Amino acid sequence: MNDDLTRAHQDDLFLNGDTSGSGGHPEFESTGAYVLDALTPVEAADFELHLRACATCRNEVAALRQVVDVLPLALDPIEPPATLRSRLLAAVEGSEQEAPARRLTALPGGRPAPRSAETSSRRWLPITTVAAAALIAGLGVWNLELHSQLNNKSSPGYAAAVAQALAGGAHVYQVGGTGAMASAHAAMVQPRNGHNAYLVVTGLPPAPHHKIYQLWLMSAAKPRSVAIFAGSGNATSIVPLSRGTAGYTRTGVTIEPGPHGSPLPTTSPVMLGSLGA
Amino acid sequence: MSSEPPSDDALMTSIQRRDVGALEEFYDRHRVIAYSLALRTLDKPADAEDVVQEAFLSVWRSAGTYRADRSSPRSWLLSIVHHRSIDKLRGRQSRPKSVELEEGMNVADATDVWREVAGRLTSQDVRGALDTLPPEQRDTIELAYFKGYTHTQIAGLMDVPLGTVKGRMRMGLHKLKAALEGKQSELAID
Repeated sequence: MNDDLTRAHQDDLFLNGDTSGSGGHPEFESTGAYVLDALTPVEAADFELHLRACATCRNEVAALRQVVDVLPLALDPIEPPATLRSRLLAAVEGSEQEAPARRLTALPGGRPAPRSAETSSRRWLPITTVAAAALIAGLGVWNLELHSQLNNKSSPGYAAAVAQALAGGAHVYQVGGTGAMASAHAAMVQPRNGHNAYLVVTGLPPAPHHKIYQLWLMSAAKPRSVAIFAGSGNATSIVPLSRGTAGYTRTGVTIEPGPHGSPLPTTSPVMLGSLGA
Repeated sequence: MSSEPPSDDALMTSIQRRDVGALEEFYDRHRVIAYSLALRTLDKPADAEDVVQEAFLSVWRSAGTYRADRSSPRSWLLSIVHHRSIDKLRGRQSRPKSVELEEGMNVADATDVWREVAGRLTSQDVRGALDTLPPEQRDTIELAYFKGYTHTQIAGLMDVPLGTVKGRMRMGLHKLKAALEGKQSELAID
């Protein structure tokens, strides 16, 4: 018996007497090649079809994949160029500018809603002069004291959320409803340490059918989409933003086509606020 | 407030919430192993950089699809790096998505135990385990995983039947797992 057969015999014993090593069918022998990406595309596709129907192979793939996952640890560590980090962040920035912010859950701690498929939101829609001017020109300084606002709010959840933000040392900016949404109110909360901001909002009715509320941050440049949400009536919603408010002077909410919103505002704002910059 | 750094799972949750800072920390934490893997496979720094950038960008864009019950965030990232490296090496476009293992499959216990094992492994552990393999099994695994050869190509390189290559892959991986689990048992006793 030559060395290979001796080792093969030993390996067979190691695998608890499964001398065929096949798990009862030939595809089983391809499980190692599959997890090592050593099958051709056609072979891999055929094997994946087999996996759908074969629990034995699925279990084997799951077990072997765990080992493959740690193989990179065996490599000598090599530091990538420092420029790669900035390239990645620039790519992320470009990715966020091309697509509107994804729909997010209303309350902190909840899981994000499932991502929708990429849409054609990369095309740039025409923006009306009125919509752009209303957002970019701003509306002046809100001079209402925040504490009195808390006392006047009918939603205890809203008051509690804003009070908590203040207690944590966050910057809190008033955001008021306009026109038909005058009864809505919100607070833009910028936590300390530059973490992502969030909007505490109440009194916005659910968005019309096939529409969503889209939240924007504005500076001297064009408005930047930072969140989309549905509106929850008199309940209080916490809407996480995709970034902090640093560098922006105003915030606004518009009603846009659902489910993904628009690259730029297409309607007049229903809520506006100054960020005090 | 705790001063401990957030776990990878916590970072992934933050990335799902579009926290760029969390992605930055995730990159800082895993850039070396990701780049090392890509460079070992591709041999060209520019290509390796492209793959690593694409992989982290894919994590950012697809964070909502990450499943904590199926792999660790690092494993998920490295599988993306590996797949893209292999595809680039073989001149292919991004491969179709692999079939997901069905929910409810009875591997949760093994996964939990292995995740604990994998989380404590060092480079020395993995290299040591690879050294315990018969040379032909180790070479087969390294040619496939780190150099992107198909099993057919390896059969030609080693001048052995295709079935032998497949067997070496599967048995070699099983031996690796046993060696690594045994190593962690030793450490636990110590």
